[in-house]
Amino acid sequence: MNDATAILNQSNKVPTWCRTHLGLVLLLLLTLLNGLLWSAATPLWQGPDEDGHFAATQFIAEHLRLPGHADGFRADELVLAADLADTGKLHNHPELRQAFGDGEAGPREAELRALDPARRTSYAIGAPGKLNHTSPLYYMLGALVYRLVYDADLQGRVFAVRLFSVALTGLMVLVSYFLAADVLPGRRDVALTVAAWVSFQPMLSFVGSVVNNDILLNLIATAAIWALVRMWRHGITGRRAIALGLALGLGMLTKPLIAGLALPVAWVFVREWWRRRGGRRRVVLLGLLALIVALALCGWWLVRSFDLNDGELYMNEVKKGYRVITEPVFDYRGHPWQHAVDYWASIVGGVWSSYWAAFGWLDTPAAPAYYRIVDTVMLLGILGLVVYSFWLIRCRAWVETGMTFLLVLVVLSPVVMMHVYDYTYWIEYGVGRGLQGRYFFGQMAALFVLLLTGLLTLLPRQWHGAGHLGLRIAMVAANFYCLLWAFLPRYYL
Amino acid sequence: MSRQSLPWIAALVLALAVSCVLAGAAYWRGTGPGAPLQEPMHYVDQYRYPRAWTRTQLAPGLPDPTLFAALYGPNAVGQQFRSCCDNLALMRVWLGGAAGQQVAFSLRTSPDRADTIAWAAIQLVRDGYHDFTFPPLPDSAGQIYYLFFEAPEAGTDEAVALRVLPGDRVGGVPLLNEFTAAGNLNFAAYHRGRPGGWLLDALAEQVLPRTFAARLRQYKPGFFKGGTFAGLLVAMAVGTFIWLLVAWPGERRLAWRRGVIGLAVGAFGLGILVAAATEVVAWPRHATVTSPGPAQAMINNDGSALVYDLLLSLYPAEKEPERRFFSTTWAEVHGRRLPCIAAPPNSTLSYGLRLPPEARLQLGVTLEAVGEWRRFEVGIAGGDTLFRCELRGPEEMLAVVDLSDYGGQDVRLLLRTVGREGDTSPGLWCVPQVESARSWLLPFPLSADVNVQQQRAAFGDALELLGYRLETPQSMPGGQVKLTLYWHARQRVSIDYTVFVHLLDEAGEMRSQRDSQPVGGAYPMTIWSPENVILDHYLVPLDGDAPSGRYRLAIGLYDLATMQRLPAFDSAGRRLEGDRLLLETPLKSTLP
Repeated sequence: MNDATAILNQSNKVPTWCRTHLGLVLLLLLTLLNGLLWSAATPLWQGPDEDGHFAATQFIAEHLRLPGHADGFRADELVLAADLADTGKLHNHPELRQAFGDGEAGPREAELRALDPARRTSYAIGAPGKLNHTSPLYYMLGALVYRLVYDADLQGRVFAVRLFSVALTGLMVLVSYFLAADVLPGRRDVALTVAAWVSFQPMLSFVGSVVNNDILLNLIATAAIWALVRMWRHGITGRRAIALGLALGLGMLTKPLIAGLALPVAWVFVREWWRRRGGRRRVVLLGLLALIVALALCGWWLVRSFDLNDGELYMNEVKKGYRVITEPVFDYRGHPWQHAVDYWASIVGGVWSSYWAAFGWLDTPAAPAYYRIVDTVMLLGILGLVVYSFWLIRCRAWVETGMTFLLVLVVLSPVVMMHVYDYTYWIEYGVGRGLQGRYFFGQMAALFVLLLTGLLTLLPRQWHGAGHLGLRIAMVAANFYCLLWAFLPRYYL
Repeated sequence: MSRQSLPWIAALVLALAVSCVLAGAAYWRGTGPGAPLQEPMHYVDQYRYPRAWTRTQLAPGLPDPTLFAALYGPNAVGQQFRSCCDNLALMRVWLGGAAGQQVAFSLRTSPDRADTIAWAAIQLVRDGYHDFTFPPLPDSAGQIYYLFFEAPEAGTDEAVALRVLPGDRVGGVPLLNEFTAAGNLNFAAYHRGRPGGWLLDALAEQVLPRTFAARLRQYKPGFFKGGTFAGLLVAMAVGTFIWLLVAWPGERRLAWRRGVIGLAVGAFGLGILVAAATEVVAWPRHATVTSPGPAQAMINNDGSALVYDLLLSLYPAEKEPERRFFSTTWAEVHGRRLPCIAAPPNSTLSYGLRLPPEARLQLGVTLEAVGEWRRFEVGIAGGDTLFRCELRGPEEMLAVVDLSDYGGQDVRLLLRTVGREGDTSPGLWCVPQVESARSWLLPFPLSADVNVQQQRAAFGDALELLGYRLETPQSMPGGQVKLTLYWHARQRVSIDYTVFVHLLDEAGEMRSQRDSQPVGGAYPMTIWSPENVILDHYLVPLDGDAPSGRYRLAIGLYDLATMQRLPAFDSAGRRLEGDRLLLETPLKSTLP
């Protein structure tokens, strides 16, 4: 442990085993409870693309195989359910909200429950299942849960798969704790606060409680970042290379967004290659090992995707015209500078908002004051992080400085890569990809470690305990606020 | 006093203060299947990438959900709602306008002023929520009430604004005088809690209003039927509290009891801050002692009355281009702050209206952008342009557009905003409202100086004819009979009956007829109030070949859906033959 870490640790005696671990166990239970609440509060199909994600899950569970070329539709049951439950896509329009009755059951709930089971595998309506050909890992796992409750009605099956997402959220909280504990060893309070922030972050609570493959990607990306952190601190070993390869391979099988970690992965290996003057060949071999493990896991899918989608990464959504955004108001082709300006304006403005709260189909935000508070805390965190970095450099704590830089790279890398990816999209297809804050949730634990470190740097040492308490309460309050005063009024008034 | 005891004392004082505030208020927000609860919601920009998507980029974005109904002069704006609970005691409503303006509230059991059970008047202090308190109504659960607002001293150019939430499924229907509109007034109903149970009631209702609790059971798996969600919420709150204690950060020597008291104080403080910020806890700021008000006629024949508020009806209006380009705002017009529709250049708003007789559209138009040019036009679809003006910003004007040629007709009223290419700033339509002179309404009972031929007859239980006035042509045959009927509704009716007027010859043969809903269909019976007498005009033509002899008029009512006549009775209560009232006329044909 270097000087800087030792100085930091003086301010916080390590809490007892009991408090730390009991706190973590309780936090995991609360995560599950919180996910249950958000699951129950979210009307059918109001998670991002939830009908499409469930359609892919249902197809695998019903047919016990992956959807092929000809399987591009949602089952009729899902289309009919949207009509019966009055929840196709609840737009931002008061007239288009779900209809309710006076009793325990909705006006057409009995019909919904009595839907013919044959509708699960009929596709006569021909509604596109626009996610049927996407990376399948989440859907394959979700199909196992689906099979467990196979005889339940649609609402029961959807809710069961939602609970699977909630369980994945719990795992993400656990991995976030370990990640933070490895970034700042000996500072268990920081780890627990980071885990609590991940657990109660309102938008993650929402995305992590509906049928959506993002949550599995978030878990895997967090695990991959944890592997990188351990490599940075303890060096690259064969086991760690395999672990990283596993994470990247499973991530690619879940959603290609995992590729956003390419820069930090490269950075960790380059740094190790630079340090190990006598063992550079071994570093290269370990890199190859990680790559082979990853390809062994996802290679078959890349080939299949190429066959299905004419590309190793899924994008037939664009080709088949299912894009949500079909009317760009500005053609960026040939205007890379304007694209860059607008892209980063979007990140700072809208995407950052949707990172914290833009529920449903991105049309249920929180009160403006909520975002102002988030912005203020973020700015303070960045300010503190700058101070912390200067302090680390002054103390010549190079490992910690490098770790901080690694986490910054982890956070920014997907944003930068999406910038490039988006512009290539423009050139190739004449539209942009479109961004949402949830695409970057895999880096949430890393971001929160940085943010928390920055905020604590601004506080006197004797206030760190109170700071942790205040920040935990703040995120809990944000979660309750978003659920009760933003989400429920939007859907149930 | 030692430094260690300071947190304890502070905690105690704060807890006591919070308890006093809660005890003093002792209200909780009531919800139910009507429209007793409305929460303002917050909208930021929609998902608009690839163009820069930022929160400051407001236009063209989503419409501001805030619509307004303007209130002034003799008009009354109100809303029906169902009280979910007993002890209804406070109504909170958003009001905006100039400070010092008087606004009267009245709570009624029907739309009629005579059924007022509580009333009060307040002076506006600022834009925001205003409270109307009254003695608790002990048996209010499930009852339908009407909340009405009036601002008799406000002029059209200094109207008081009521905030309206656009057409929702909670079932609310605002009333503009007697006319209904889509939407919900932005108000909330509060109830006094049960004696001894107010705190729990208040907490339960504030955290999970019963509207949510009821709806969260629907379209859910069986596990969530019943109170599961509320139970989970409580478990989550308690679990979080325990977790905060168990995972207490910092050094071990921090006293647990100090931690507990700190958490309690923090929770109370946070709760109060949240409550204050979201106006959850209802402590009256404009408390008013009230008593039942005197019944007054709501008709002012000297002025016009509000029939349609186009700002309030912005949501159901058809829009070109799409709706997200339209929003609402406030603007200064002739030194007055008025709520307006902000319409983009080269846009059209289209309203489907049934216009009353003697209708007129009053509005203000303004262009704030310096140097820009706009043309504002009002027209009827398939008809003429009735109003046109050009403004060069910054400029403004108030106008009145005569719509009397279209009285009794279903029309599409068009508001066009024309701009030059490249212009972006909106043109503002301020307080666009359709009014009617309402010469067809008189207060009941009729004053002695009204020139009317007394002829009482009852139709069904609720309707009666008080008299009539007849103007016959100078020469016969040809010409037409001008008949004015004086109707009165003893009580509210649920069917819009149709009036028939038959001209009968000496043999009883029908020579001419007029069938119509009263006032040309512009004033349906279902909105008639017992406070009013309705003047209903008919022109009955006479054939050129009408034979000689005396003529009579037969008058009655029937239900258009069933073609069944309403039973008719004379002033002595005897059933009239054919369920029609026969009026002798001075008509006598001179043809051989």
